[in-house]
Amino acid sequence: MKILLYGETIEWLKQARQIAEIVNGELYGVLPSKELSSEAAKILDKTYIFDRIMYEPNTYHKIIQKVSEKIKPDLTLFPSTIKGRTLAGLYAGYRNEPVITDVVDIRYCNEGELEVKRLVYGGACIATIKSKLPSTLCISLGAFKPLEKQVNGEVEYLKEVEKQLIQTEFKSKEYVGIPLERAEIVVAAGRGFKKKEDLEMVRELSSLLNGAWSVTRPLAADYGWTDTWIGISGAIINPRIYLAIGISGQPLHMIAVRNSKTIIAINKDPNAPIFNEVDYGIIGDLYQILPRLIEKLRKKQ
Amino acid sequence: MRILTLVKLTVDISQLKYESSGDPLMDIVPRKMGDSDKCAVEEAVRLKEKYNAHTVVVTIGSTLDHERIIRDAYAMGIDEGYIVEVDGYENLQAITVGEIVKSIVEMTGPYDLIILGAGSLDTHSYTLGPIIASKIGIPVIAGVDSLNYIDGCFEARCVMEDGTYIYRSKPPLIVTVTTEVNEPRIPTLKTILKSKKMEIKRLKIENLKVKLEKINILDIKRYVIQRKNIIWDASEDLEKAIDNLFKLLVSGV
Amino acid sequence: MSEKYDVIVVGGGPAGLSTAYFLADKGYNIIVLERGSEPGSKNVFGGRIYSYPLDKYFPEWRKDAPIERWVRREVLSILCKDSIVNLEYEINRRLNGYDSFTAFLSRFLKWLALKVEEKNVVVATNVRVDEILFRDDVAYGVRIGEDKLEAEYIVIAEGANTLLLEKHGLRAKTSPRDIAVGIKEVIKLSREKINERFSLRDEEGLAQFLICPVFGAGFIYTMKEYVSIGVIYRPLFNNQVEARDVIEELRIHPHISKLLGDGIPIEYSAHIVREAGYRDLMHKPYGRSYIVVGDAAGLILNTGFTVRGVDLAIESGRLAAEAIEKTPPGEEPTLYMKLLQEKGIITTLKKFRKVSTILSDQRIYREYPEIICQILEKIYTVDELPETLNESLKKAVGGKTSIIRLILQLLNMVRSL
Repeated sequence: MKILLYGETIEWLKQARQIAEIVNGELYGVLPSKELSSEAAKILDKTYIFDRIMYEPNTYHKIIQKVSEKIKPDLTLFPSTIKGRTLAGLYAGYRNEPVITDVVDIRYCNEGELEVKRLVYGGACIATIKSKLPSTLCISLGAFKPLEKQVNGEVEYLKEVEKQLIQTEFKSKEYVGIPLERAEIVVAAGRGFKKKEDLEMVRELSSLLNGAWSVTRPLAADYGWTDTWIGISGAIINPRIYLAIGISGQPLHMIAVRNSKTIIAINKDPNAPIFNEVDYGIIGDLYQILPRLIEKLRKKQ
Repeated sequence: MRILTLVKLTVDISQLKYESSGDPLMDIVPRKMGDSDKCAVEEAVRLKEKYNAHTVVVTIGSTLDHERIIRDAYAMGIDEGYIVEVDGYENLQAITVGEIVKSIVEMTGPYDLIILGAGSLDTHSYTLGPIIASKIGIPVIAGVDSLNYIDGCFEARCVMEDGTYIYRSKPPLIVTVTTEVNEPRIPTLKTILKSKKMEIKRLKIENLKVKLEKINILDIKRYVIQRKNIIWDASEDLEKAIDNLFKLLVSGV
Repeated sequence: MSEKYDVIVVGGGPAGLSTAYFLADKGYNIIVLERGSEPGSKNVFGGRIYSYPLDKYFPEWRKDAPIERWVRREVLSILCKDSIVNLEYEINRRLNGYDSFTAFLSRFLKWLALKVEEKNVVVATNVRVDEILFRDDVAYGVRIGEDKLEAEYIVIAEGANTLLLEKHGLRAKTSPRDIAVGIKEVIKLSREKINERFSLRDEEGLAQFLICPVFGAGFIYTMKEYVSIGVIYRPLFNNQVEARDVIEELRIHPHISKLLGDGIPIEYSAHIVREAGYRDLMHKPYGRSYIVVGDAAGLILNTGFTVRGVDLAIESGRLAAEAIEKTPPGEEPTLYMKLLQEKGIITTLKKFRKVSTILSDQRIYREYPEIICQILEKIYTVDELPETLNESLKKAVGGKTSIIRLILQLLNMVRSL
């Protein structure tokens, strides 16, 4: 079986390698950056690279489409990020094949069919779906264990690629410390915080823990305290520890953090739904807890 | 300017209840117009008010609730509405929905803008706008947080994982919007009354020449990740709670 | 605003929709204004509806009305701590011959709204009426936010929560004595389990009324795959248990937990119930160009053992429509009260006046259930020294009340039902 993927991170390529093992297929990839090529060659059987094109879905799609016409894959994989979903839609629409997002499990059935598990209803439920090949899948990041398997793949640089189809401007997010998606520990603030200045506690806590920090959607979108957030429409994360502070646990937030290994929450309200989904929970006032916790961590250092 | 908006009737996921077996109780969960679809309707109406556009709304399905959401869109200011009557609307393949929209565009179009919610409440797949784009061969901008129309060009801002993108494109264009794009209006009595009298056009799926493909769902169950669920009450012993938390974080669990 | 209607109906509950239904037949141009997002969205009552007015006025209603089950078993239960006394009445008829059925009121109202809309009545939802507009005591319209809507007649059908009527001084502030809180839980239970545990066949249902010293009065209704259990909570009298705990108390009773123990609670809700019967009825539920119908007018019967709202709402709606038709705009539809009297509705309410008084008598819940349970316990407990019935009775009643008085009260209660 031939599998094509689109990807932007090495971590995701390793997870896709795991899927290739499950369905027993060769793994081809289209990647948007030269920087990834040497690492990718160790994971993918064949890597197609294009470079220096700003992300714009229609342009990217044309590039992926051309590669797919060469390979004729049975299965195409995208990460279940906003970019991945958008590209998957364009791709499936063009190929007229089923597309399934938020995939957390795949089983290969003999008759050229897949049995796929996906999250639905904001991550509250899991649906099992039978899908014919060829299919396009968007994989929930963190749902599959990365597979370390060294291959010696070929790399091809795509030269004649499309020009930008739609005029695009990009302003990069300023990374302070470790990017969210790569952090081992993520600290996040929710509506329990009363003012923007109080986020300083979260920032300091995350830096003491050598992790990253973010907020929930209302703090970013409604209050404008930050540019980005954790949630289905923002960043989707799977750190070793997720520490949620003053976060009630709305479904569209929880789906984005559910693949975290350990979830810890601090919340004043003992009935906050997040307490149903934590490994460790502390019922209490963040304004009492955080200063002392930070103090303790400072002393230790 | 002619604008097409698409609205989906979705499960209100905040009101889901379950059987002891973990099966969601689908017969009693309320359904409503998706939140981001409502924002798409609002955005269409705002463009209409500014540029005197003609606005059309389409939904797929044949329940009374479908009629209700078309009337809700009318009450917000949409001019013309279609219901595509299909049984089992909840299990249609996304590519089939794309085909249906394509055939509606052929019948009622062309449109300068097709606008819909980025992700529905129930599956949040984010794929429909892009699928339609491929089907009818016009570009898409997905997950738009703010939309403007300047000098014959749409300008869309999208905040993504790695930063902020601004796209500019001439019509025709497909745009999918997030709930950040606007605050939908609350209809007034006058517009509600008007919406009651407006005609809803009904299209039978058989007349659309679309091959119906359904999703083969084997089952849907409540998704439970086993967690340790150890809770400490800081109001009983603040120091101990902080100490426990400190040890957890330092040990790296 | 250019829109002009003959009649504005404020409220899309059973009474408002019925009034609109009957008026539409007489050729009026009508609009119904409902606060909720759809008719019935504020109604959480899952219970019993009597079929006689539907038979009379809604041809073919059995074909498409959302009937859950036809009530075949009627049970009156006295619950004590660990015992239960049942009085049961069971009817065996052909399915369509039963007098009442269980239904979710929200679904029933959706159906009723459809029937009304079929007669070209506009049912507008998400519309909250802030004020009735009067000119020289004649109602001429309503205010909704900044909008005004005028009509020749206003039908006030705002339900048990009579905010508009109180605002305009048309009705005294509701006394806490006249109000109870209906606390309800809907429990999911499979059809098979419901059939087996309540000895019912597929389409057959049960309506059970409960009396208990701990929580007062309660009910159980069986739907197709759900069971509605509820308690009529009287804030003034139920001081042993907090409102939020009463359902829990009911569910853990050995008798109830046997029936519902493994069911899954899927909805909890509380709503106002007017229950003072005749005392609560407005003396003059009308004025110049307006008329009050349904719960808002006090037209509800809590007989203690059956709660009648929907059928009376339909009947009063029909009479209101007739009164409006025969009264020129600007005048008082005095005919309305006359019709309510002639058609026996007032008489019915009067008849149940006593029940309301009895029901608010704590003894009904606190003492009598204990006494009855104790008497039966004594009778059915066999030990070395058997007691005579008279002795049992004396012991059970103790010093609380005289035997004669108890018997009189019980008789009085039974006669009032």
